[in-house]
Amino acid sequence: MAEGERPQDGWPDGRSRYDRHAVGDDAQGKWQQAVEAALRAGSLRLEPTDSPQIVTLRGACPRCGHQLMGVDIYREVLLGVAPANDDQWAIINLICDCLESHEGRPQERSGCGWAPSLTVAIEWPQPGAGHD
Amino acid sequence: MTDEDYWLARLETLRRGGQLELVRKSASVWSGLFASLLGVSSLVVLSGAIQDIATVRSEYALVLRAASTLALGGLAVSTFLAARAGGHVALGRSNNASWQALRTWTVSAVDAATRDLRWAKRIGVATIAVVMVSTLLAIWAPAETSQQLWLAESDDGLICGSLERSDGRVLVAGSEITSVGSLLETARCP
Repeated sequence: MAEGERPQDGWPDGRSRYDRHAVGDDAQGKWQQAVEAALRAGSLRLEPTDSPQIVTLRGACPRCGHQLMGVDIYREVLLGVAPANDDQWAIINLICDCLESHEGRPQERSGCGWAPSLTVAIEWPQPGAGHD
Repeated sequence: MTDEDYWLARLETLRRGGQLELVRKSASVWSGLFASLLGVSSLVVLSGAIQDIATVRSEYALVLRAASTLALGGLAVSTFLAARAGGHVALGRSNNASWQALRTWTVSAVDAATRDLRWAKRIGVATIAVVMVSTLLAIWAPAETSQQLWLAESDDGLICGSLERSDGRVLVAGSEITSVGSLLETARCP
């Protein structure tokens, strides 16, 4: 984490217990801040793909610090809902899918458990801006 | 499978290949909708509501014209609402690719489809009633009495109109004819 960044309660912590039930405004805010801090610090990064409409989020889980498999983020999806006002943001579920072991994790699951119930707004990279 | 897993799996399917499928389904629905609307127009024209308008008395013709317009509009709206209830007519783009957004959209889509279907049925039934009543009216309304017209060539020139006899005088279009060069029956005045 970069100098001056506030660590999220000791995150990343590789020994985090598996917890899939993070919900609520506190958890939502904490996850959003952790992802933003990780993006600023470079432990998470947006990598361009062949399509200008898709970027891949790679790097370490903000909670456990283990490597994520990579999440493709689409600039827009067809859902039938009204578009959000600010399309500079892509809203996704960022779910840790690391292969490291976490205490309390069911056999069929992966990752540290964070955070399928929470959403994260990722700022879409500006054209020509570096993604790293 | 938890709710969360179910919606996440649906989202993944949607993201990976479902986008193109959605657009193609939408195109197919619109194509069907246009065909249906064309069929609706033909149906109203052929139902008898329009074709007999010219033959009934003018006050009935006015009612028939209004009823035909209403029927055409009603069936078009009803067909559109039914198609929209079937889905894929309106596709919105969103930057929210979370499963929560997909779930919210699905719930609101159920409400919207139910509402569309309810109105499609109401308007459709009302329109069919209008078509049936106007068809009966077209069949049973008194026919317009055709007026005989005459073209008379007199000293005053050509006079066209109905031929009347009054007090021993012969009138064409209200003008007395004293000498007639020719008198021809015509369907339409020049």
